[in-house]
Amino acid sequence: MSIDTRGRQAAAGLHASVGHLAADPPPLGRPCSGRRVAALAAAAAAVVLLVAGGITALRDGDDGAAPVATAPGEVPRLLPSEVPAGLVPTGAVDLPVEDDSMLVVTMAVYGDPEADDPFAEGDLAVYWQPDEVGPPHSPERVRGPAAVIDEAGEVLIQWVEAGHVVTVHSRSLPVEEVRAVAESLVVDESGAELPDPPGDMALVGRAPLGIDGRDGRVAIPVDRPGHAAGWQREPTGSLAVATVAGDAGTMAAMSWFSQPGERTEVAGRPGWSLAGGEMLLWQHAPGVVAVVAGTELSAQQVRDVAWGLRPAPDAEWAELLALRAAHDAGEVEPQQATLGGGLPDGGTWRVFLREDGVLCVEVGEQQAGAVECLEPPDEPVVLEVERSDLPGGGRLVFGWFAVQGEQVLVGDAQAELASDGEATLFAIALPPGAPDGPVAVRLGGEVLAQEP
Amino acid sequence: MVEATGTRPAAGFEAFYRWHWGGVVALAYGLSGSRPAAEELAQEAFLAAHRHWDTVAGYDDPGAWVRRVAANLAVSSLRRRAAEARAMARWGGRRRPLPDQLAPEDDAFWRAVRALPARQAQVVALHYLEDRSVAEIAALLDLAEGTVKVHLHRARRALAEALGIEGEEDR
Repeated sequence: MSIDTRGRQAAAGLHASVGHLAADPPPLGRPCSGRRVAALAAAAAAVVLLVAGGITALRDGDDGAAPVATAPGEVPRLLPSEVPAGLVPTGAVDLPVEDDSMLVVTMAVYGDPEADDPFAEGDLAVYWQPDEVGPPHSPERVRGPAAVIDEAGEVLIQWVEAGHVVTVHSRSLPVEEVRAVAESLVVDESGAELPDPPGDMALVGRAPLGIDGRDGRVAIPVDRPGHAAGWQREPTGSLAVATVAGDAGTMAAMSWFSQPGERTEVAGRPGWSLAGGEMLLWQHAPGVVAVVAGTELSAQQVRDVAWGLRPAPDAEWAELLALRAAHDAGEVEPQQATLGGGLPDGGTWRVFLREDGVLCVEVGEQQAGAVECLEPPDEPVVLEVERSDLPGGGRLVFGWFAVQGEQVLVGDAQAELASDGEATLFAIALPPGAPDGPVAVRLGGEVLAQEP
Repeated sequence: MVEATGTRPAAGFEAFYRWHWGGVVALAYGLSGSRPAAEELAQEAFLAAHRHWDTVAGYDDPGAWVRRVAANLAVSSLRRRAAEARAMARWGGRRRPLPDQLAPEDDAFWRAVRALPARQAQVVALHYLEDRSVAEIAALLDLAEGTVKVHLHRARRALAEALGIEGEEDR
């Protein structure tokens, strides 16, 4: 059998397995158990509080990172020194927040608490949240109630009992052992307890995690102090930085949530690299856990953000809090790709892609210039280039491209880039006398598009 | 963006959603390996399309746009984990039976696909699941056709090796 034959057979099998779903699409944006969009910053973190006092200063390791001073018991507000290109801030939030819309899952994780990686030799999670929708329709029974049992890669058993949706979940145990754990639980109105963990396992960590109903990427204990800030690049790129008080058990619960992962150090501190490097989680100081998480970012970009964190000045943080509030109130326009800078005469320039994809430019004094939006091309193109003479000399070369380039050269000069998720904007302000030249969009060593 | 000038009449989003839903779920399933997460990822992709519908509806192939978003979401392990968590949080209210299990040999194939580098996995999933040509995949993923050919060749070779299929080295 050839690989093509095998691939087509596998494709047919996969289509057949989801065929009934195609006939009955769910309502788009179906509510998450009736919850509204949660108010957390677009963050991707799961950290839990366990306040520990007596912390006076946090020192980075010998990696050259700046020390971050923190008062005793204080959870620091941290921001990136440099945000990867194309990401725009969505705001920040201070924890705790009182938000009934937040889905809170109480999670207890089991493994080897003495091991560097407590889940390396076996793992188990028991978690529960308030039931709002009733039991599943399933012929399976666990402890009496109808239960969902899924064995696709990981074993998960879920049922409704005592007002909770209770879940037992393992990435290493066979279904028989997971079912035995489910049968042995003590479940009442206060939650679930596991009196006798299987094998040599013991409780490693326990934490109530709030999950963002908007995109599910956030799992933060919203009932305790902390701070989170987010950035996004439509439609699906994001960056989050969060700090919350927490200990090793907290980190363990969080790391289980985002496995697979491996132990690592972040700026000399013990932590985890999770989800293929998209998330770094570390003990920033005793009693403080920090998280940096990105989507559509490389592991190196996530590391650069984590290593470059700085304390957030009060004014900057206040702006981010206000931005978050404006987002919640629906007062913020959808993201635009924007680039801009200063001019020798004190003026500024800005180019951006309007919501409808039209290229616009603004040149003036302190952003007081008139916005000019250009007529879109008559025919579809992959690269649009425009040029505009600047006051005081020099030239602005700007435009956008729809291919997956990572670098734009104008002659020999490299332009700045910003993406709105559909197209990538580029711009460069050439000083007076600087040579203009052809515009080339490059990926690796390959020129993907060029003009003229 | 290329066709985003709004000159094409916008087809109804609901019809678009119903037409493409199954295909996008299948693509997300193949790339994520989780059936519940695949539905969540597909929902996320369609929500993105809905947010940008005035623009997306003007594209020559809005279905390709939503597939690209879903494919990018599905190869992001963090997003996949989050979608799984979100799906799990909803299972208590699930009113429909879970999808059928994949046959072991099919499951092995898709596991091997997911072990590939992300771009190779996307290319090979679109190739087999949707029978798309190199040119179509290139347009869908914003890649050069030559790049797609390279990814497809390497993916085939890696899959053959992983699955113990001989005679694919020179294809």
